[in-house]
Amino acid sequence: MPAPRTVRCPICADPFAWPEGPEILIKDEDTGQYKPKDISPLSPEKQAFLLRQGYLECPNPSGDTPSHLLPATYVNYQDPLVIGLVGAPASGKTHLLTAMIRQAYRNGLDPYDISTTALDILRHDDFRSRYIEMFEKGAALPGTTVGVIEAADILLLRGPTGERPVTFFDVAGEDLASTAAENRSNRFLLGANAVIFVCEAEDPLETKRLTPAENKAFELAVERLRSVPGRVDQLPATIAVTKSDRLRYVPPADRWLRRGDERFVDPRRVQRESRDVFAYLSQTGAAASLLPFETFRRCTLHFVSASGGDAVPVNGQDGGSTGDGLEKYFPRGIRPTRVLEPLVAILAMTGVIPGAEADRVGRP
Amino acid sequence: MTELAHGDVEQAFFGWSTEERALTLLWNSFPDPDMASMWLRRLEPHVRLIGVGDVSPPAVAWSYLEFGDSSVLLRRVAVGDSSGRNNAHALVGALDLSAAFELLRWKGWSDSVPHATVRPEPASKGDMADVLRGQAERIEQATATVLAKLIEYPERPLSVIGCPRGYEIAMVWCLRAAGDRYLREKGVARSWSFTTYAERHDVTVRGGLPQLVFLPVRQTGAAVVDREVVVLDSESPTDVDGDAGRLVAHALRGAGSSETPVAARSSASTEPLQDAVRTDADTRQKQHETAHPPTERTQASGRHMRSDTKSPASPRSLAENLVRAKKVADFDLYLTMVVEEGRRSQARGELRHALDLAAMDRVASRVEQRADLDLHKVITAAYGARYEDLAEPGVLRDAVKIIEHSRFERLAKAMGRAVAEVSKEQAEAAGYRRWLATSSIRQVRPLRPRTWAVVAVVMIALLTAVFLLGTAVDEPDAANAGDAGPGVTSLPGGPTPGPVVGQAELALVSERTHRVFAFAKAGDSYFPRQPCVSVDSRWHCMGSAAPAAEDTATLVAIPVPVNQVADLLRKAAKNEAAPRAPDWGGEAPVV
Repeated sequence: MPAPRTVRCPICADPFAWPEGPEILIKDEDTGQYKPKDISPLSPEKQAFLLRQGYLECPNPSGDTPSHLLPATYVNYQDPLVIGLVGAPASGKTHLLTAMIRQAYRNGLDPYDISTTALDILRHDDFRSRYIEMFEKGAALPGTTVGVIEAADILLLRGPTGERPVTFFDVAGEDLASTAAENRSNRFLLGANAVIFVCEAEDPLETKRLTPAENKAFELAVERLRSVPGRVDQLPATIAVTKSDRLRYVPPADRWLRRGDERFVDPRRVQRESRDVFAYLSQTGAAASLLPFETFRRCTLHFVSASGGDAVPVNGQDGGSTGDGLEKYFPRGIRPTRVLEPLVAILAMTGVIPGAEADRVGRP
Repeated sequence: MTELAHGDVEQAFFGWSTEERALTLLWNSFPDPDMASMWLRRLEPHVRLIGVGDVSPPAVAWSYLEFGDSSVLLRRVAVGDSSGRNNAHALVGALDLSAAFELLRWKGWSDSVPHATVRPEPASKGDMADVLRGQAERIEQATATVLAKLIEYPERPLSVIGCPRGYEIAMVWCLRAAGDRYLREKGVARSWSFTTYAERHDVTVRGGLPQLVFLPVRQTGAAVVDREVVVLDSESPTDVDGDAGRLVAHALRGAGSSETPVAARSSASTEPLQDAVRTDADTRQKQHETAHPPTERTQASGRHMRSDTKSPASPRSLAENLVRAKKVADFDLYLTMVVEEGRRSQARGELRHALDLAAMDRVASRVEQRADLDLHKVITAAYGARYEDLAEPGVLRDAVKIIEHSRFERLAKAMGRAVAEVSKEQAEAAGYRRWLATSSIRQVRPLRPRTWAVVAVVMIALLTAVFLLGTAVDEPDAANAGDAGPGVTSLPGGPTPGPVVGQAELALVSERTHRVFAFAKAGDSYFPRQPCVSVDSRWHCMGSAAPAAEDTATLVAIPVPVNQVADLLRKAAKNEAAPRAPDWGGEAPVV
């Protein structure tokens, strides 16, 4: 009998031996509660069918995290990839993640022979209805709730190298900038094997504002990642300059935005874009946002625009008298541009996209 | 009145800081920075107001949170930077729940950063209890259902899904008044911390949730929810003769505890507390609208309204349910929900779509024996609290159609009042056409256009007076004014020359960019009158043709850019001429 597979829970970051018992948890849609179900008497087809929609409770050996579930098939594939988004509050993490997942679902990874589906069906359904559908309606997405420790979405990427679960974490910027030692919301950094650092673009000529000397969210995240020996050498990272539509008339960002989505992996092109983003961030005084580039051995930099423009209040400047008084929308609709580039770079750097060219991505 | 010693209660105000780029503490009265930091950490997970998909958060949400020796009464408002980056004002200190209830109507609650510390002044205890009791009576059965669950699981935290918005605090008050002593006798000293709005209630929320949480819809996703949950539109109604039903009835009407005095039913307002956001716009809206809370059997009737989607019901299905309601209780419930939906400008288009002429007629048939207030509520839900949606030509056209063709005089008059707010002359014209359509003249023989126009000019004052007389008599202000009886009610519009009604033929490029406007043309001068309305492919215009009684002029219709309409209306009100702008379209006579 083979030894049970050991996995690291992406939520509590504890390693544990995956239980191989016949019991899984199935959500009762009437009560919203998860109930155990023994699937051993069922036929293999029915077992597989239920497994796909079932969950297992993480044993959380450290006992430091509330009860949380993982898809019952989480370990049925290659080693899971855990991608965390890190950035200051309102830097555009949720918009980028939403646009990225939406684009992946719209066959945006087809050029790399990768298809996208939900591994955690309920979680993805929740993400779709809370974020993707609202985004598609042109609504600006709300600020992320502080204190949430759950993964945003868990997808399954099928590609040339096999099937790989990909877990995305998108926690509130306030949590990432929190100095509280026991803030569980940034625990995902322990289990992350790739990080997308998100900073927003600002044209200083337009904003007449000095770029902050520090990027607290970046700095704290980098230090937390450094705390695990060897991570800096192994962990691939990207820096995504979000809201780059603000720079659509500013070279060299304009040139990259006009290119739209790429169709193949070209490490030289990635390097050129990284060089341009580096120059832009250095020139605008956002050196603090380059900390990940200086820290991680493999790092790429990208101009991205999740929505294509800034959101404006639905009810004008004065807001409204009802609950929708805070809502904003994108008056010209949404036009995501180059949102998949950071993800493609990570997939190349983690071997999900194979090949010699992909292997050179992010290397000096 | 509960006494709050000075210094007992500290205050904190949260909001989006553009400097710190974070939702943080913007102002506080804490004596030292460490204490401020501690309360920022504690309250940070509780201050955001976030919608769930299409479901908007309420304008105001209240939370009562307990932290050891201290408690917090938190008021979150839909004011601030953006969704989830809202403002919130907190009172922190030794506040028991009774004190918290009394502070709900404290005048010092602020939507924006306070400039000075205003000492918390609780309302009189009896006053607040009366208000809450009055509200709770409207949700008695729902409260009993929730209490039954509390009695079954006295030590478990509880989530309530589907409580009518604005009645959450009344439910908490009633649950505590009814259940606290009962549970204590069973050995359970339950905490009554609560929040009237949460967008999620799973175990992973940092800081923990209050014992009682209200959610608009079920939470989806894979997170673990370790609470008892009552979904009011799917639970079986509680037997009113059971313990929970008796306890709630006793709390509302019986003698006994200090929270449930024998006092006769209060005449205090039953307006939902949660909507009490203090903005000018809301104040204006509240002047128009008296809340009409749901009655008993909330959950039983609510069962019809739940769709399979995440949202409890779309605006359209709510309107359809309102039209289909067979019981008064159901009608009241859906009316409340339609009114709530109508506060969202995005929902009103869907409401209007469902509330077409036939649907409005059915609603009118239901309220024939009831106060006209209900019709007013439906109309404001569909057209905006200040009928602002009627500024759109298409919407105005539909409203005019209801005036002209409704089977119910009551509805036509109510809609006439609404349209008159935007355009008195359109209301008059529609009233005239309604009269024409239903009068014997038309049934005897059709008039030729020229004859029709002559008759119109001669009879218009009398006929519109007949119609508007009704609206004026129905108008509470007019009825109360006392300076003019029905027989001497004057026409809106004042002493200017009598209006001309007619039609113009011209093509409008786009209703998005242009409006057809009626002008009295005297020589080279154009005196704006009012927008024309398109009915059956023709532009119906109305206005006094002469700028002054002695002048001679003709009424013409001209397409004008939409951004000039406001200015033209201002000039029309002052009877001032407007220079013909180069971007006006060609003019057509109104005949």
